[in-house]
Amino acid sequence: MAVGAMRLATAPAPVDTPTDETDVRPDVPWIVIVWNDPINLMSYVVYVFQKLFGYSREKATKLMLDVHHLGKAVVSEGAREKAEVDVYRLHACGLWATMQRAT
Amino acid sequence: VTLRRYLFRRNRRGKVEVCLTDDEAALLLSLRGELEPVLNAPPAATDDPVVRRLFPVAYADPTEEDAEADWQRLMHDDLARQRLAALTDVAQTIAAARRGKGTVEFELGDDGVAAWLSALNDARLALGTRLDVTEDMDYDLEGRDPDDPLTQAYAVYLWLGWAQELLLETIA
Repeated sequence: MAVGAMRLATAPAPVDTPTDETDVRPDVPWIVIVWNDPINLMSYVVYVFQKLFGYSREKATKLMLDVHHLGKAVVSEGAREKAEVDVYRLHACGLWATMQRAT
Repeated sequence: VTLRRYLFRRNRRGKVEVCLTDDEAALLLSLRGELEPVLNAPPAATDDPVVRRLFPVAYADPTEEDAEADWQRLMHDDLARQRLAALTDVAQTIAAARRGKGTVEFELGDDGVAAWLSALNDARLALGTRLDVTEDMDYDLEGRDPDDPLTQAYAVYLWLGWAQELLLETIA
């Protein structure tokens, strides 16, 4: 995975530093989750997934149905900066999205 | 009675032609003014569920509060500006449109369609949150008091959803 120079510069260098003491773990990818809500139209959610991520109609529809039936779906993943931008774009479209570390 | 054959339809040049009744045009013209206070509200200092719905948290983990604060500081104003720009676009398109007999007619390119979808959706998010709508809500307006402001708010919410769905079908 590509790691931004800024984040590398602030990453803990010594191996003996306990990793759970720091916020910066550049090797851990982030996931972006879209949550179900009662307002957004199913057709609109498919449109947004296709427009923002370039997903096929099939993939966008499957993700939308996961959101609808399971309550949430992971729609993208990657470095923290990418996840932050994806959350921004989803919020701009009115979708309820959050990001978290992939576990 | 105003007769019209379409609300949205795609023409041969790939544009979306729109034909609103005067009432619908008036409703859409009012959206910017209705939403502006919510979009301009300072995000951190409010418990308003509409503001929280339009500007949700980015980080699922509450212990990421510093990253969350950074994200909000960087993104919130842009999000608000983008939304206001879409609502302004809608209002300007209607104001500049051709007037028919009881109708307002114009066409939208790709950018216009995106702005309209955004404005319709933001209005539905705001109104739906105010009305506390649920997924399995009974949307039948029959039997409701037509003079009740709540009935009118539901009618607007349903119309906005209907229009958004039709626009999405038109561009699909």
